[in-house]
Amino acid sequence: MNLFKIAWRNLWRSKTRTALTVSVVFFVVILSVAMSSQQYGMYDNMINNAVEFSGHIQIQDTNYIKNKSINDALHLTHALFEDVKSVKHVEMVAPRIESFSLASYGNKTKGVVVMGIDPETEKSISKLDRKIARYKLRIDSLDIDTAIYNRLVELDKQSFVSAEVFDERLEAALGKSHYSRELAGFVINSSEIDSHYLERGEKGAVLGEALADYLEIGLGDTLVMISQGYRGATAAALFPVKGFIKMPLVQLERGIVFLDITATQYFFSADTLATSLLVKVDKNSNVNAVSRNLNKMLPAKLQSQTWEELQPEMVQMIESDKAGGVFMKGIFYMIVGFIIFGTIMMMLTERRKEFGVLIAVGLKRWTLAKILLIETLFISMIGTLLGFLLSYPIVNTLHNNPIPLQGQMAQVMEEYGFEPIIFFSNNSDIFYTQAIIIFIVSIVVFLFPLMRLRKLNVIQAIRD
Amino acid sequence: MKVIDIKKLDKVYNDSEVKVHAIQGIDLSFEEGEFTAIVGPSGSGKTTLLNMLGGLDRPTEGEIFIAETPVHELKGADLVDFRLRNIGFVFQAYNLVPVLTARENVEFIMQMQGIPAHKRFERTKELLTQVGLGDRIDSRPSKLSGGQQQRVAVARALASKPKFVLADEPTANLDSKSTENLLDIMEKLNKEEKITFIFSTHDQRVVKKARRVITIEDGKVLSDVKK
Repeated sequence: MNLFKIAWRNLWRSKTRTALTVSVVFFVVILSVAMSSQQYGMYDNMINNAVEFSGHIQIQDTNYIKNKSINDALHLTHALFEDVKSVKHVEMVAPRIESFSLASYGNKTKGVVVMGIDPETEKSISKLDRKIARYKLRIDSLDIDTAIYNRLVELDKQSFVSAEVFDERLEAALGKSHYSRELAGFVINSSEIDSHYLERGEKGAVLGEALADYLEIGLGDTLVMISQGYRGATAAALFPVKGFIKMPLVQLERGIVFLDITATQYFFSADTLATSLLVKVDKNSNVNAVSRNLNKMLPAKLQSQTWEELQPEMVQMIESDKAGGVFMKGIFYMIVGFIIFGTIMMMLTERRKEFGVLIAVGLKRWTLAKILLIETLFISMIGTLLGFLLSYPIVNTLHNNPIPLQGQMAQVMEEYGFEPIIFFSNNSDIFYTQAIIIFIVSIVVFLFPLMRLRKLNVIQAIRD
Repeated sequence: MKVIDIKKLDKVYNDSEVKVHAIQGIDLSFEEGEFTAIVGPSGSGKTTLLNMLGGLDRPTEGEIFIAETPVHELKGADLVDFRLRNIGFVFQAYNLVPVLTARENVEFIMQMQGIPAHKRFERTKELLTQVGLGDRIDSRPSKLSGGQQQRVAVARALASKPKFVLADEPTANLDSKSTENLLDIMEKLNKEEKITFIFSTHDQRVVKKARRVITIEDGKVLSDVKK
């Protein structure tokens, strides 16, 4: 007789009890998976946004790290570029010059971040070109068949969006059966584009869409910028508005102006200078190693910082949020632990006599413990597996279709600096972790019954 | 040939406030093929004696030799293994594993002894046929009557080919017909297979069949009569 077979049959001696215990594990797994998925989905999105906007690594002057002043900008040299590029796992390097300015149009003025970028390299790092807003479907100008036309009618009524969002909306409207990259490309290209991304060397400005709304400035209008340039020089210039950009964070979108790097250097009287060098690394797991290697080869006054070092507040926020999640999940697991514990103790108590007899006839206590342990693991693992079976499709659907928030909820999220969208992760680690934790909880709660079994008085047990 | 040899056996229980001298200096021996009943009033010490013979309880003083092995010196896993290979048990309340069939209940003991599957199957079938349950081998205990369950318990006790079988009040829960039936089977096994049976009982029907009757009172052997 296989011990697994005996354990399996024992499980069903009290069907209701087993079903109840399995149900508790099942519900806790679902709750825990959903909670972890939402937490990690949000973190992943925050990290992706941060990494996408700021790069995996930034190289800055050590004084700039402290003062954030354009006066501490670094000198861009071909040699520095090549040295950074030559480090293993570095995929791309992009310079940025960043400072503050007053941006004005008509009667409205606002303090903004001026970000001087190389439009071409940024396409591969921050993908800013994909975030340019004001793509709009003009359905009547498309030569498409009726079935597709009918699916796109609703999209025709929607406002301008970035290419990225437009693509997502197209995919949703067309459905899997009609969507294809070719068709999406055709529709996007045929859609009227009101604003465009910067060209290399172009003297024009791309504004955050929320900033443009605040300033009430339109395409082709002239933005007035006044600031202090490098080493106290006066910086004043006019920039025609070339486009608007959608940023993941509205706070950022309310106060950002993108200019071509050459135009920015000229504006701030900071020729050949940059405040940061953005570095894109091939894999997230290589970021720390690349940063260490860069710090070894960089001149003493330059320092490489990873995205985690650049955004300690975000890392801290994620860590504290994770701790909150751990506390909640800890409560869930304690419930599971107590329920499983109660079930094993009941199984042990009601079968005391049987165990006594089996030990008397020659069954080793360890073999009995193994049977009881297998029963415990069966209960917890059945619950866990059922929990996975139900939670995976839900989490996967939510991962592919994040929940956009609206109204006050969205406002609150934006005020706290988050995208007003609830993201979910379907990372397999979430599932493995649940299984491992439930397994460990089962083993831990099994220890006390194991001790009871070890000390079982055979004669008393038989007399029971 | 001596199967069991007990020398100056003493058992004192100190766990309660009152000190109980359950067995007091008993000397006994049992030969192979005996069909013995240990009788006596409740609390006389017969179950305690049986527990010590079966290695379930340890004597306070004295020695127990089973097939020349000093059982009183065995501990832990060695003692469990010794029980598994040398002693068969039949209890008052059958005590079969409810989730196992009659065949599995018997076979389980042999599996623990490491006997190969095909030999286990043959012996189980043979044993269950001997106790008259050849046609019920795949029935679970809940589908068997009390008498049938006790017969499965006898088959289980014999599965390990023990040196002797200890039966503690095996007929206490059975009706007359089932008792007769069970005792006939045990007697037959004793005569034909030379299996040693030692009963602890109040039941006169068992006493009548026994060829040796040991009477115990206050932890001492009052009489030892061979018929």
